[in-house]
Amino acid sequence: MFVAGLTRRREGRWVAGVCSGLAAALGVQVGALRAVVVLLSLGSLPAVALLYALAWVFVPPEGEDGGAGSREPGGGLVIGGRPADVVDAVGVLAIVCGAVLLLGQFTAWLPPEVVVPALLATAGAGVAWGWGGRRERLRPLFVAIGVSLVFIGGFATLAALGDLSSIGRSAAGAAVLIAGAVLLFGPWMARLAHNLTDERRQRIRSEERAEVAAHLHDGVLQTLALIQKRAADDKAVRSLARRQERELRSWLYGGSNGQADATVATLLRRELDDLEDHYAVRFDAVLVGDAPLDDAGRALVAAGREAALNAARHAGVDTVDVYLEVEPDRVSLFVRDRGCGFEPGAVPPDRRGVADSISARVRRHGGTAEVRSAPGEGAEVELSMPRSIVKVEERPR
Amino acid sequence: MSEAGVKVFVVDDHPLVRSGVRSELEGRVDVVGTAGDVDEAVSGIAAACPDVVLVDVHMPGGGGAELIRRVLTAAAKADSGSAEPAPRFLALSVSDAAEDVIAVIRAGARGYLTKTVSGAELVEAISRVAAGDAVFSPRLAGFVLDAFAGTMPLPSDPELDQLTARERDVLRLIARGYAYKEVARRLNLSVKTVETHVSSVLRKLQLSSRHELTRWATERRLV
Repeated sequence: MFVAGLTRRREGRWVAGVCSGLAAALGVQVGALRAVVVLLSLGSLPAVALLYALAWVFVPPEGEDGGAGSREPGGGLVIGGRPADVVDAVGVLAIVCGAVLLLGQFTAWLPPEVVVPALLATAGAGVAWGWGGRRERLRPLFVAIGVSLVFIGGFATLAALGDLSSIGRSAAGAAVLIAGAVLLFGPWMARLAHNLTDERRQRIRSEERAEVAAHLHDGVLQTLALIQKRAADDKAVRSLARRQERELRSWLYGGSNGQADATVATLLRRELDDLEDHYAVRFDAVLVGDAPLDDAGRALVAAGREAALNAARHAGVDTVDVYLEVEPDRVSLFVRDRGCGFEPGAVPPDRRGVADSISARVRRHGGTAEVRSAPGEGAEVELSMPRSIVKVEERPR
Repeated sequence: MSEAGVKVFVVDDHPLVRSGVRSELEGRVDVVGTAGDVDEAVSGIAAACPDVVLVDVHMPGGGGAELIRRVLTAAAKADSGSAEPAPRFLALSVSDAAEDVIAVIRAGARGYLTKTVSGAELVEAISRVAAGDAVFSPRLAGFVLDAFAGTMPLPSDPELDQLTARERDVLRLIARGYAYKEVARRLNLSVKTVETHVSSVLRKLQLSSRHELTRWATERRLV
């Protein structure tokens, strides 16, 4: 949430999952990333440790992003499994202690009397927010231990610095107290911020849900009312029901919500929907694969629409099967009805014309059209169009 | 097996659909019971011993896939010595989401029909499933063609991860709206051979570990 897509991973982690999460987000090998981190630490461990600790605090653990359900149940002691919280706490302690120790080693003016209490204080902070934040029942105990450790450490540091002037002493005291407060409350506030974003996400989600429900109920109830009113009109009822069904489906299963209208499948779907609105026919369309729309695709769909219109008008059936398949090298479209059929050799002039307009359309773009029919056996129109650009199909759904 | 002798159990959470299907099947098959959710169905099926269970994909208590799994595992446990074979399942649904359909098939359903199917077609499908064959509606055939489309560079199990050219031909014709009989005539095959091809596709669909299949099914939510 702070960095898009960056999470701390629980699987395959060493300490807190910062490295493996970063590696996953960057798409690099986690081993390589760890090596780089170790090298950097050789240069300046405190800096790396500080960065790591910051990442730990501010990068949300994996799963928290996916909503409330995917969080570790209770986050409590896992007996027999991996006690994740203990690992967290020990990890934080180890890192902060190491950083302070090294800081003390490299900066000669920092005497052990300062380092030891500081260690104590950070240990207290580690206990307070490593454990206290997660386990409801034990929280007061851990927070108490943490707070007292921080204060003991703070006073010990003050005592160690007692030989300084009183101004320096009070300044140091204030600094130590502020540092303690930051250590104590910083993580807590960060967590609070996390919770707030979580809450906001939940609210957005429920608002979305309410909006969807409102839309569906509006549409469905309206249609049902219309159907009741026009119950005597068979054709109208059927087309009302069909239209509502389509609308519901496109809501439920996504698809042609306007954003993906430049493909062969969505254009065909739209043309068929349009025909369904005007004729009492249902098109059972099976669409396999998809392709971006080009001129040849447009011609194919236009010819397919003519074929479907033909079936709707003349076949005398209430369902027509439509099948579209996009292959890497061609697009095929079949329109089949089980209606009255006709003799392809002796078609009446008006249908001859349509057949011509179907095949002429397709042939202009190098495709083929074939009409198979016999009286009483229904009819099938087969359209096939070579694809101009042969490329590996990436379905734009 | 004669149609009138087939014992059918209808599972659907909508009473309207249950009574509709029941009245459509009346007199043509023997409807031995109905249920409205998974728990009710498990005990009802155990009591009624149907040959074929018509199952809805979406239901409270886990849906069709869950029901099929529970009944089949119970049957597998009781298999030793039991005279009653496990019932066969036919999914009947309005759901068009590919992942739902593939999930029921992979759980063990012998076929998938949309609820717009006519009464006669439904009866034919039931007797087909009762006889141990698979039932592919045009839509299911389309899903399968789509799922198995493209060539995998190295299929982990070529036997299961790819369709043969013949199986593809058969599926294409089914997707175009051809009945098994018409497919057979068109390809100069016997109906039995068509049934064999379709059953082998069903087997591949159920057993293939092809990871694309799952990924495809979850990615594709189509109309």
